[in-house]
Amino acid sequence: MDIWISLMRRCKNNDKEAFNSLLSHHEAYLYKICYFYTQNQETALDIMQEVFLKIYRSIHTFDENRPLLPWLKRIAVNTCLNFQRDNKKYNQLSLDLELSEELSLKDTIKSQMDVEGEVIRHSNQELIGKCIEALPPNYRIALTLKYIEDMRYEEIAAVLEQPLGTVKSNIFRARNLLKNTLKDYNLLEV
Amino acid sequence: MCRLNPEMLQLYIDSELNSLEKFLLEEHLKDCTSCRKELNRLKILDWDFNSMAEKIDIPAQLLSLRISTLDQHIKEAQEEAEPTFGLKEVYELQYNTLKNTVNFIQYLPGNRLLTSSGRKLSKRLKPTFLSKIIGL
Repeated sequence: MDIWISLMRRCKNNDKEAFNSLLSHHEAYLYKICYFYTQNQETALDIMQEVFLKIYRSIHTFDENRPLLPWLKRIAVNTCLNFQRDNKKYNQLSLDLELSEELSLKDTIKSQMDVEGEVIRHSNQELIGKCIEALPPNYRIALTLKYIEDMRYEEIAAVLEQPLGTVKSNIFRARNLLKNTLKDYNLLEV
Repeated sequence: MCRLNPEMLQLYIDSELNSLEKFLLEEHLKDCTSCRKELNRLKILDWDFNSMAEKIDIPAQLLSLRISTLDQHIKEAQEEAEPTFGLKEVYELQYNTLKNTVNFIQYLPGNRLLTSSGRKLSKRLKPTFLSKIIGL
């Protein structure tokens, strides 16, 4: 722990080597958060560029006696949620659609690609990736923290600063949406 | 139609049920085919998510991105640290000098009367740079 504290102090003095040591340990899982959230390498790298810059600029205000990982995670999560592509290719579900969610997700995915063809050509996982992309941001970020970080509901609620009930219902609804979509293509049968 | 709360299956997969809830659910699953099928679907989905998460490759560009953004940041930090003397600094010097020059006005006798008359007059006139400094 002392090693990290002295490393952070050196980072506050803009020590290049200290930044490189610190980030080489953490950039992989920060990237995984961004990639799972966006399902796109190029977008994930764009987000990581912003994440790196935010870390460099705000490390001066960070209290080195606090744990580093939650702070880094929060930066990555907030950057993902705020990031908007200029040329957005995919439509997303609105959170306001309550009654017809199942239909809407299927329609959203169908409108983006030839689903029958995709099902034949691609694996489950590539199709799930497309479905994740079509989910609303709040559902996606909750799923990302669940599966990339293996966090419990309370931990996810603390990072996202949301009530526990909201986090649970977002994860449940996201899974239900995907399950019902993939069920129609018989991709979840043993 | 099964009356089990479907969220229970999700909580079961996430190991969020207490021992009693888990026991009751497992007893229910022994008799309920639809819940068993639903649980299997959720387990497959859960497994797919986990294996997706494990298979994410870290691209080589990430390292060069980190280095290039770090170089950019350090350069900006060095430029900020160096003192400059440009138009902005000249303007600030002149502004402060002028402001100090007119500071004596507040100590003049009859200052309050002067100030209130000045304000009334200034409302009829176009604001100037000097009037903004004095505070009219």
